[in-house]
Amino acid sequence: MIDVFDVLLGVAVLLGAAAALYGSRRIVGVMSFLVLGLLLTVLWARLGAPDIAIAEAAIASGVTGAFLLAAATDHPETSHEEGNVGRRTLMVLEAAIGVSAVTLVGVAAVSAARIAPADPLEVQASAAVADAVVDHPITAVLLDFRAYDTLLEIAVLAAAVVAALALLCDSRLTRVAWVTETRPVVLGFVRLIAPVVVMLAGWLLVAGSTRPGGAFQAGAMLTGVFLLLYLSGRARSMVTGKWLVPAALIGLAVFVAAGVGTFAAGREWLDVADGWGGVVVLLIEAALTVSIGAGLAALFIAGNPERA
Amino acid sequence: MANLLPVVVLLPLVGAILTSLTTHLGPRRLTPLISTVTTALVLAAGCAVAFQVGSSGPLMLVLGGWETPVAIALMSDGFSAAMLLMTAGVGLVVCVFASATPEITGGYWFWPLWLFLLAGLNAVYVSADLFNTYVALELLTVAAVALVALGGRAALLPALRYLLIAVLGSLLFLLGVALVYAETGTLATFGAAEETTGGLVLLVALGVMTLGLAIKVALFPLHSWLPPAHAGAPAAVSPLMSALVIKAAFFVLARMWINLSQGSAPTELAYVLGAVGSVAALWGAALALRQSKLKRVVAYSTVAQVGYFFLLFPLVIAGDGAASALAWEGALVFLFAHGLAKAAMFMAAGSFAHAHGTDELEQLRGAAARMPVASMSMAIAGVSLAGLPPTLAFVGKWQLLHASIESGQWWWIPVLLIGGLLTFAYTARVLRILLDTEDADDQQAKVEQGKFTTVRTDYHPIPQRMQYPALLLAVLTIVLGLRSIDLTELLQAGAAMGGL
Repeated sequence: MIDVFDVLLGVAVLLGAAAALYGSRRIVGVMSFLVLGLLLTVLWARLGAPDIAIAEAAIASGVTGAFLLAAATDHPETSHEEGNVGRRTLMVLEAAIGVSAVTLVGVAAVSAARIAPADPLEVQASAAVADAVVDHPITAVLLDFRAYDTLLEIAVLAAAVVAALALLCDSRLTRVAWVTETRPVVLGFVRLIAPVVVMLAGWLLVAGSTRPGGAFQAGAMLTGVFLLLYLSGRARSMVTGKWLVPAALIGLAVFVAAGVGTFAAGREWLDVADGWGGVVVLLIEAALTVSIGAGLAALFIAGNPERA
Repeated sequence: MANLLPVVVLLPLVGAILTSLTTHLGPRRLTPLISTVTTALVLAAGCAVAFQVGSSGPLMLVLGGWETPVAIALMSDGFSAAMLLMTAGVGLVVCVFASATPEITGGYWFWPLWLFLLAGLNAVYVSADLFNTYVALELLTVAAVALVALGGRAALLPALRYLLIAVLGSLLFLLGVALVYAETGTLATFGAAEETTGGLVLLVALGVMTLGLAIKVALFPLHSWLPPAHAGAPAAVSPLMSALVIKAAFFVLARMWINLSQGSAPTELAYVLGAVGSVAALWGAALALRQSKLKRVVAYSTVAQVGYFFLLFPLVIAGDGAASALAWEGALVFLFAHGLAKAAMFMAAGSFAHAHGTDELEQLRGAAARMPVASMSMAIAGVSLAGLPPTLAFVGKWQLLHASIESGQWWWIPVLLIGGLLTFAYTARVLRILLDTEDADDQQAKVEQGKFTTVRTDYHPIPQRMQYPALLLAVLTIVLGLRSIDLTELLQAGAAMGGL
């Protein structure tokens, strides 16, 4: 069912990726990356994967785009001399190695797909969704079947926030540069839009159990709100305040507590099924949303320390 | 008893949450205490797991009330139990060392980050799922990079380089996982091992995984990130990095090779790994001999020792039955011994650097007279690394030599012998400088003649707590060398699942 639009979309994605990689100026690269993210979102939607489309828009394109924009605009570009012979040889060599590696992996991937077993994990997981505590397959995989993976991923985020704080406080980058925004239009816009986005994040969170959505997408939306507040000179307590660590760790804490609680209640570790399962999952997801929102925003803001 | 497996991962996470809160909101003085107590509890859980594995074979636990392959399983065999013991044991000793003064930890955030690291390491050792292994490696990497960066402004660049390289390694591993999943349709490590048919897919999957993990283990020629990162880290972090962090990546590498490729392992690739490992062993030792700073000597020594670990692959994969089992045991005993000895060496080096304000070898001339305990630890750890009897590394090396003869791969023997000599050479060089009392005697004479009023002004005494932990681990390498039979028995307990 490939029509012209899909072909054009595929070509546009490749062109966008090439422009992002090989753009002559950094800002061009970043802009191409943002366009690429948008195209990918459409592509995922066309492939019937709205979950990934929302996540792509919020996390990959939104948050990562903000990071890249900040990096591209904060630091002046250094000019580098144009290629001599050695550099060019190296580039050809790199290209050759890259092309052969990609070819080899591609051939392996194709032959792997050909000998895929008749009853892959996907089929078994789909069959198990009927017994899971939530109806949506992706939420079921994330918080029921493979909850332990999600728990460790949240631990990664918590560790990253702690790492950023450690570098800010004890490695002596104690302060963060604050933006001061006085333009009334911007302030008014933030005041209007922030509650709307918070509400949308809440809806995405609750929707996650039955349709595309969930903690990761809602958390990324929340990050957007925090960044808006930061960029308009508010939310000063984001990095220096005492609420940051509790907010960034509450998701991990609730998750671990739920995992231990199921064992204490006489079931398997992280077995949230039966009775209260749906409520527990929603509780975990709500805590995760706060942690993801606060954590990602803190990482973004901690990346702008005041330079001595 | 299998129910203890999640404890070794969840307990450090609880500790990490608590210590993050005490560090951020206070009281800060509780942070080292909570962290040390948590590590001690994890060690106790590790001991219980090891005891159980040793007495009744591998443990297996499926999480979440589902069955594999839909759910994630945790597993501990002899190899994993031994690594759990070493991790928590070395960790506890380093905690005692680190609690001496905040200066050697790079600040109080060291403590929550160490617990995140411990959770990541243990998660790698008990994982029986390919994707879960990747996530555990990520947790480990984030914590490890942050710990290196605690070394201050000079450590920021090495830490950033380490981050980029480690993430590249993770992505390559993930690519391999994707290929294995595409072929077998399962993520369970042992399930996938039964399903693979070998051939091109397995070769490429194993190849990219090996490349990714070899980057993380710092195998020559992918090692250049390691010396600045390990030497630039705070004194309490370097022992963790060298003794524990690279072991996790090697653990995964060994597990992938032994399990995924039962019977159908690409032997040529195994020989290549052995050859590269041999070059690493000699090149790393040669560079260690040329360093002018003590911590860099120890860091290059790690590059050299990593080379020996890779002799595991040709000897186990290309060897037959008995030789293969000998090599497996030998390499793992050697891995264990390296963990203890390298932690002892880095702690001793850290205390020298802290006492003298520098780790320039020239500035440390005659330091043995001032710090006999740390010098003794350095000497014993060096002897252990070189593999002289009666240390634990000797047992491992002896078995590797034996396996080389058994399997007819005699060409690894000179590598093992020359490598040992070179290890002894750089240890002896360091010790000669530390023991060189000529300078001190000279000064003493001048003091007596009234020409100098003080002996050294740049040296300040350090707490006992910074010297004895290193000695403890160094002595342990000898004690365990005499009791190595217990360790090999524990390692054999995993034989049922290890495929050997």
